Amino acid sequence: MDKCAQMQPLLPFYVNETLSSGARTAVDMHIRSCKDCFTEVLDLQKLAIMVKVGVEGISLPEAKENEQSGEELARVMIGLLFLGISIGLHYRDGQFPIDTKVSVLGRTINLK
Amino acid sequence: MDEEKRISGAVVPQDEEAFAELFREYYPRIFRYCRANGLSEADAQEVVQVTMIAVWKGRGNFQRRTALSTWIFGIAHHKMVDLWRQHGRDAAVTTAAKRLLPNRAEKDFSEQLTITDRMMRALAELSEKHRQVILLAFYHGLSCREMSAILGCPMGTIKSRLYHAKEQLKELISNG
Repeated sequence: MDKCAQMQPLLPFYVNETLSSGARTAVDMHIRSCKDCFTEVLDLQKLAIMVKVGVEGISLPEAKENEQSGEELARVMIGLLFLGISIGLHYRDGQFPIDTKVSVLGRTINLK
Repeated sequence: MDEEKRISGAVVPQDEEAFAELFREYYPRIFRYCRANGLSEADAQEVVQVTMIAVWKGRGNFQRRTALSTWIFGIAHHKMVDLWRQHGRDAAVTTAAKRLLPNRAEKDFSEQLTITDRMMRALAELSEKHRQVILLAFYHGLSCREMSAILGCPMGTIKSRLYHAKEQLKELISNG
């Protein structure tokens, strides 16, 4: 088996830095003189970063909860906006025509 | 960090406060590992929970011969496989790819895909075995020996599987 064939299976573990110090030294020595294996190490480093960054980008449920709370806030803001419009529409002659008679549990209460 | 250093630093917290710290550290990693393997958000959360319960209950049995992370990821991996079995492995694996794919028209939006979208698309195309070795090696950063212990296959198989998996992943990314 040639040296490259021996080294190739070790390269992913060289890149993720889990090789024993002996194996790491052997790979270090080899890639200094082998352009193909050196290029493969660079490709693997790029791939490892892409996997790491890609998977780290998966959102956690907390983030979703924050998004939901943002949506809730937006709903409340819209609700307040409509409430303001509604109040504006009912405003007449410097006062609000509030009905002082309120019906509670079948009884009518006069708030005046 | 090499394997020896990680193993020498392995301690399972014995009190609840320290365990809560451990939970905060491992929760995102296990959750994302499960999601990258195609589990739904609810299933991924379930795996995290049952894993951490198992870690807490089994903290007295932890052997310092292995790294703490390997032990925890091993439990998480097996809990994930258990869930696949419960839900029907074929159905889960079939839907896994769909869950990972972003819900967009591929050609029109290919320029706007994030690195996560691209990686998820590529991972979804890999076989389950290939996806697992890629994630264990490059996301969790485990050694060949650790992966062999978690997946229950010889180190030669891990090396060979990882070689083919990364070749396929490189091709998928360059074509994507």
